[in-house]
Amino acid sequence: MRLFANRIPLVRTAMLSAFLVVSVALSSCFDVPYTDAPELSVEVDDWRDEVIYQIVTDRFENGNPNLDYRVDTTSLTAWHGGDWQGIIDRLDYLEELGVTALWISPPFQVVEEDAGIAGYHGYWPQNFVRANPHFGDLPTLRRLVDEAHDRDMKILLDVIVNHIGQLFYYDINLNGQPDEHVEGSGMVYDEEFGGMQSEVLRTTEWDPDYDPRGIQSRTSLGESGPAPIIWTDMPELNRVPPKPEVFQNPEWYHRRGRVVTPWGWDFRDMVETGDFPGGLKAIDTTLPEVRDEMVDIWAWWIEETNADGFRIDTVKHVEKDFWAEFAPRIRERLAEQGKENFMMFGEIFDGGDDVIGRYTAPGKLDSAFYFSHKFQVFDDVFGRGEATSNIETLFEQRPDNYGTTPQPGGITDSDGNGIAPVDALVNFIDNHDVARFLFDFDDVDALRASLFYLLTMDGIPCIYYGTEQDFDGGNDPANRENMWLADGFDTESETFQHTRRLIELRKQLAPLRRGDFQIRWASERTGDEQDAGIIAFERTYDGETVLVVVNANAEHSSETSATSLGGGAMPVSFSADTELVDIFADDGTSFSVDGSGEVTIDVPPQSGRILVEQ
Amino acid sequence: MKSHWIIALLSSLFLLVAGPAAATEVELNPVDDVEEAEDDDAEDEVSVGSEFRFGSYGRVRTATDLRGHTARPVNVVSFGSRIDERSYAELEFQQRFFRPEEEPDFSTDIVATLGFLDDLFHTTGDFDQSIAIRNLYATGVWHGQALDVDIWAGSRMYRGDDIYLLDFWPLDNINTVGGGAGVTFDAPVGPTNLRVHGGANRLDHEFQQQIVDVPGLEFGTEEVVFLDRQRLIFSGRGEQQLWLDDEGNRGLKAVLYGESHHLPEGVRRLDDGTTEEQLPADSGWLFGGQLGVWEASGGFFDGSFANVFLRYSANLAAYGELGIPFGVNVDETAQGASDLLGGMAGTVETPYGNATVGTYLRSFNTAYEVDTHRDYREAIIATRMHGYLTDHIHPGVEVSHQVRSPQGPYPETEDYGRPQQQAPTVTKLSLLSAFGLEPGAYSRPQFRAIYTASFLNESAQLLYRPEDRRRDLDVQHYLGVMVEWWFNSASY
Repeated sequence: MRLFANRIPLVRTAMLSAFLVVSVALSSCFDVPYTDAPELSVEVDDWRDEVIYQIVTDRFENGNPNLDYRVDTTSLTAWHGGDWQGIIDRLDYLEELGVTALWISPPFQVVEEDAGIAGYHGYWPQNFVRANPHFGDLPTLRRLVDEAHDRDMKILLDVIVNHIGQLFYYDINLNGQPDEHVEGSGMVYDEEFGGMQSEVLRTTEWDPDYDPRGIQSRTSLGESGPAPIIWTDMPELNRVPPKPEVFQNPEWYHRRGRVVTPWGWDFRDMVETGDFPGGLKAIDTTLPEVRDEMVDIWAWWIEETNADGFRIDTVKHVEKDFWAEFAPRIRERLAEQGKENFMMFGEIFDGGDDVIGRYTAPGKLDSAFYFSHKFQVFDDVFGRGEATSNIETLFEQRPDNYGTTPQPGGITDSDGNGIAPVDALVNFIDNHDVARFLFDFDDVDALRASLFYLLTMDGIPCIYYGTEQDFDGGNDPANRENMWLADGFDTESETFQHTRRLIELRKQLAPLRRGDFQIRWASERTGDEQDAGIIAFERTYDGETVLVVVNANAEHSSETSATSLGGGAMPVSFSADTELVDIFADDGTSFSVDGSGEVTIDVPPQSGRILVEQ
Repeated sequence: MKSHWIIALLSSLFLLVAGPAAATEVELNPVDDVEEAEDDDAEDEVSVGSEFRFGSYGRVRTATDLRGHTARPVNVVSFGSRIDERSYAELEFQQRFFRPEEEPDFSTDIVATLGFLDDLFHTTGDFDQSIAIRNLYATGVWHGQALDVDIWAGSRMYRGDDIYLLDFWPLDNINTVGGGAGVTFDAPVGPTNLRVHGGANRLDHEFQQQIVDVPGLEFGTEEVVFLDRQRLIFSGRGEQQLWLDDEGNRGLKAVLYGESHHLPEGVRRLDDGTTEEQLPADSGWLFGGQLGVWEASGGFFDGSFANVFLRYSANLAAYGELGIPFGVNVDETAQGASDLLGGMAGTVETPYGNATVGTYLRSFNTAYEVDTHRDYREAIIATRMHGYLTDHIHPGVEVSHQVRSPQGPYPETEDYGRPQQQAPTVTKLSLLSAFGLEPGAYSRPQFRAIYTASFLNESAQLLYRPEDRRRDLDVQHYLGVMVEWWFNSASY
């Protein structure tokens, strides 16, 4: 037997020492780069200077094929593979178009699929605080924001506080599995059986009709109290309990079932506490702890990305009071970190100005998506050829419905003066929730006339992606076309060039962005009359005035005059004998203001003129 | 086209070395031992000797984590310390035929190796086993006057030197079906060996093969191979030894090694059953070198050696021959991917004990131009030391430290998605009681009782999914026994 000698070879000591030195050196060299949150900055002078471009991220451009999970580009209800890198890759295109702010799909992780429909749109939250892996990771989103800022573009994140995706069902029959019941035989009123009747009732535990008491459990013996909710466990579809984990508290949900359509929309309590159709479970935003969490979550997204504003989804489905707390707290928290002039505009999908406007009351949102204008002007006037006097009526009612005082700590002009919501409404022709303009009206000239008006009127214009390429999809999901597969990046197309030119002029002429808005001519006539389809308005800013005249009529040229009807020409604020030149036509076309301060401007059908003093 | 010149080269080598003798048709008459034919036509028949050999590599272990669960490997790098790796075994069968009286001396070996994973019946209770054919090839060797030539064909683990402590072959290591040839001759300073190889694979993955169901001629469906694209792999290796004594018991060696990978374009059908996706052609290459030193002259450090490796692979080759490229670029090719690796393995043997070191430092970047968590730097250093208490009892200790630095955040879901701020690290401290037939770092079989404590930093813990209970453990234990052996193995 050979015993181990009582001495330690030097080589072993040396090797151990070397090992320790190398280990320590390696550890210190392997810090992970990139992880710091950005410093918040103010990128906006005046939100009215911006032209928003709405992007459905999944459909815009596929910049990273490594994120293509469950992709099927042949189906409009499946994931297509668009991502944040794709938007980065197409910033040149967007810059050439001239848009200055990008509203992108919600950034968080969503339900992969529900009932065969994918969550590609981003409106089915599952994890509020994780970047949607289909779109990229947090550093990529940061980089998108940074690269947009480098081009003087802003990024607007899409916000949801109203609901989560379909992540639980109501266990109405208490059997621990999601069921669909059919009860009753359909027997009609029958006197032979004492007037008995048996109505056929269908109930799905995924999406039962609204019950103001809360969804009740029910057995053959009758009701059994509030139905418990049971979280789904389908990791392959990411239909697992919501994150952060605090959202796994059943008390954080109204649990009253789905809004009963279509009449349920008329009842505010049902709208605010009912699940959104499709099984999107309504969060109880009256709870203080829910409000705290929502403020933390959405402030965090800005703190982590330095994005510039929020477009807020399903605003009217959230208790009105919520916004009076959420908006000020977000503004205050971000302002403390240097993020001022932060805009929040809400989606209030409603045709009524009174409904939309109430969310712009003092202390609430900076602006709203101007649905009433979309319906009454773009659809009715430019699409259906109704009278342009509708526009005048709508504008006259504006101050009665929308906030006329700036929000404390809200958006400001470049001098720091607050901008009232009524002056910063977000105008749009169409969006991802409605059929595209060309689907409804199939008239490219009408679309271009709409773009002319959109990009010269007051407020903040918003263009839905693909509009500049004459996309014509119908209702959801047909209106969410794949941009890259449709060869949608043609910078020579006529509508692209038309839009680019209008944005360019809007940037050149401050009155078109910041000026007040005075309607000089609107017509009640829609036939072959002299002024049918004319809407004319002046916009003045800092002593400079621009006159815009648009003819929405599709049949004939019209002019700003009613002499054939016994009236006069259009009065303007310009001095007598002023020569007004059409800088949009760029062909020297001009018009003279007569001695009485009136001017007759003729406009070809479905086109417009932008006139400035020569 | 490249396969044509490989065949031509192999043919030329064959004729050059074997000459007319190799072209002579002979009647083989295999017998168990060398024997003379006894009939009157003995002059026309050829005596052939044969020899059967059984070989094996294996390790079998059982271990507990001291919490009542099976102990599992704990690593954050691609090739961690093998101290806690799973059971694995190979059974190898070789049959050699030879004609010792022939000039030049010629022999062939047929090698078949079965590999078995760790789903052992006595562990799982399932009378089933995962088996792979790791070798199934034949070699032919001509021992000439001036040089030796060998050829081989078949399915083979085709590889060089490893880093034992990490169970990792850092330079030449191809799993291939193909063939190759080599030539060995004596240069003035020592033996020179040159080798070439060509092979192909067609992985069972929709990246390379897709089989679809189509309507049958009359009823039902039948399968059609819709996509089938082979990856062709060629390699070349040159080794020069520098002997420091006449017998080659001490010496140095230098190795240069290269590979090229080629994948043709293809078309596959998407899940919708109708849309076809174009898969672009792709290619890649690898180049590297190795410097080695050994000492086997019977002195104080008898049995010691060291090897240093440096390897760079690019594009398709960066993912390995069995890898499906991930992190592809916007063209969905692997162009732009890279893998740079430097490593070292060495053992110091003394009469009192031994010390073995294995380490590598690696930088891997996917083809996708933006850094993500799939791009990473990683490193590990491990050392194992045994003292020879007796000829048969060799207590030891192993220490290792590994770190992996992703270049983008892991898709972490907790803490508001905040990316990890630190690189994941694991430090392992192990105590071993080893028992063997004789002293030596590579003396096998070796029985071991092992205790290992693995220390994970918070970032390493977060690599486990939230549902995995190991996520909460900053120390994981391993207590187990194992045995490792190898003998007569063509691959070890």
